[in-house]
Amino acid sequence: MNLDGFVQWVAGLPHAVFLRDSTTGYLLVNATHIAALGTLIGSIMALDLRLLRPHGTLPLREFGPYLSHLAASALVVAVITGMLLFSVKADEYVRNPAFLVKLVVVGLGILNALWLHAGPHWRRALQGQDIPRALRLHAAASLLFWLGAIVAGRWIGFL
Amino acid sequence: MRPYRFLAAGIAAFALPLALSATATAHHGWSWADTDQVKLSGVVKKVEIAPPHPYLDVQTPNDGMWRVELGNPTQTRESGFNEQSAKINESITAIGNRASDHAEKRMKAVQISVGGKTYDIYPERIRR
Repeated sequence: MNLDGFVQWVAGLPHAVFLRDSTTGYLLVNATHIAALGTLIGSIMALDLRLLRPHGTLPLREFGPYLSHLAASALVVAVITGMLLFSVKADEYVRNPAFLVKLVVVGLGILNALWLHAGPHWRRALQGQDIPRALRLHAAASLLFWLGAIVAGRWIGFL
Repeated sequence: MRPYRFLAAGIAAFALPLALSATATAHHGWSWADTDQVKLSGVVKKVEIAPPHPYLDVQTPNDGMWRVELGNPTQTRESGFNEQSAKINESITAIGNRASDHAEKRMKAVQISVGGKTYDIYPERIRR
């Protein structure tokens, strides 16, 4: 399936047709997307800033997994509502440079998180050991990617 | 608290160009548009009613393709305008405020006339 075929298929899906006609439905999905972004940014920022602070006192053993799971759950909601919003004007969004940048940045954010969880540093940090430089780099990259996703996302409406 | 200060600076660095660019092309409000109203005539090339921002693309005889922004979805529907109201290649006249940056072929319509009907998108802004 080529890009135009994909876009037409998405535009014809029942929920896309529904959201195009229902202003209330659209704004509720939009509001859910924003709530998910807020939760994702809030939890990931709390975690990343803790990892970046050499003498932080927030206990990572309790708060590390909690913040990480909260961010992951919010990401799932953001991706689902994001796909719903995308379907309403799929033909425009696939040609919007800010949208494409946002997809890349979100992808990088997810890869960064998966990479961190696959390595040994995260588990060691949770056990109360020192936070190594590699983990702090992950945290800095995470801040950059998720804030970048917000900026690119907001930019979509201004192109 | 030093990391927080860095973070605040970082967010400001991100947000500043965004805030500046917002004045260039925003759908919301009227601050980006001229206060004087213009009349635009042409033929309809695209009708987009879907949220968040309904608009039309209008081909003019001498000035290329124009983007004619309508109201928000509710305002647009309440004016009586819907997806069937304008067909492709149909003649249309739009009255509204064009972008203050005249390099941009974009206007926000207060009233449009197409297919023998007139739709008041922003009734309180129409000058009679």
